[in-house]
Amino acid sequence: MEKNFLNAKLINPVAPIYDTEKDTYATCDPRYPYVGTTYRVTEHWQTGVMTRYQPYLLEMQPQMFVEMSEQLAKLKQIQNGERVRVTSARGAVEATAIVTKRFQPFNVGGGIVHQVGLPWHFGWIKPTSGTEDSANLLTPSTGDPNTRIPETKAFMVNVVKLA
Amino acid sequence: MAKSFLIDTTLCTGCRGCQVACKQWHNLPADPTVNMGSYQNPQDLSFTTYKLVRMQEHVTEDGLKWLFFPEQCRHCIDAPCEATAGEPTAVFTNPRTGAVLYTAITKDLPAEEIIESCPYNIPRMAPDGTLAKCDMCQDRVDNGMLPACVKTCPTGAMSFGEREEIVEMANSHLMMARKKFKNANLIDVDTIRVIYLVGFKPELYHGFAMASNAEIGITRHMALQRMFRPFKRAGAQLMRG
Repeated sequence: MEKNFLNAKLINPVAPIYDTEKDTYATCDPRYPYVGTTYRVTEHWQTGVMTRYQPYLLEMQPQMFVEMSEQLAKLKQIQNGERVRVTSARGAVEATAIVTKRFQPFNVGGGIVHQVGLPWHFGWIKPTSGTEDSANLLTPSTGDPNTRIPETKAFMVNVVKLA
Repeated sequence: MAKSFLIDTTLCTGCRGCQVACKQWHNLPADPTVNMGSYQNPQDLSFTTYKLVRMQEHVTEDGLKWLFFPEQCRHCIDAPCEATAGEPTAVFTNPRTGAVLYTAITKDLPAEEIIESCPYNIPRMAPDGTLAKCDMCQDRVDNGMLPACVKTCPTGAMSFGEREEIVEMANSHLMMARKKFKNANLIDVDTIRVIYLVGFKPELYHGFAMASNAEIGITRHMALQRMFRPFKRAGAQLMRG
């Protein structure tokens, strides 16, 4: 059963929830079994609208990626450097898998919970391949109750190998 | 005594400012890259990449470490590539700075042999056979400026100056690093001008981080090259008329 191990309430009762078709949420849904999180890399700024046009920066970070533990990669039969699709209740992105010891499975409530991490720096026009997109397509459109700072650090996803 | 670098990898955060600064100063194009399952890119040095931050993840005695190795030409004090080339108009050492420099005339030399002679696997060849690598930012250094990579380093991992001062600095950085990393060491400090301080075994960073034992000193092949050099040069001059 869905249980919050930190608080009696499942979610913050004053968190803003918008009722559009994109505002679907899933917690213990078997379709989205892994925790997703997002972050930045040094080479790009925000959605990359300025940095992706800089050849030296795109040279160093050319593609959308998703980082995962060796354990999850083994479970999903994903090789380091392979292209994968990451999906949430709201959207999907393609990414290159980075299999790394820097990610380790969590032990939550006696069960193993896997986490994956993605940057949100990629999008249209650059790189010209047209295959790289932003992790913002996956993240929920909610924020903290006072300032609406977006909640992009914890959401549920699935990762599958691209056929 | 000429110049030297200190690259203290224990202070490097892998930001790659040096990698970009190098390309920018030398007006080199970005290499086409794809993500190969690592943050490191490009995958290797090239005719248009003189500086590359290599990245490795290893579980060490101190736990998981992400090791960064900002690689470049070591500017050997007695450079095997210069001896192998045996042609001072193509490969020579600038006596003021100690920089080992390549010119466009490298195109006329056996590139594979020169690349093979480098204990650190640094020189890279253009399709037309011209060789290129780090030039110690000769133009900047001659005008009293720091090399672009050193100038841009935000953490103090890279230093540049008179060799005597840099070797002294390397030893004091080593003393500090040993407090945190018991296996910290300087790589090939007596034979090269780019002194790396590493916190772990050099081979964990990169296969060519340190010259292998077999390659230290002058090989038989190089000694022969050296012996025949005056004749080769005289011959070349005759050919040119």
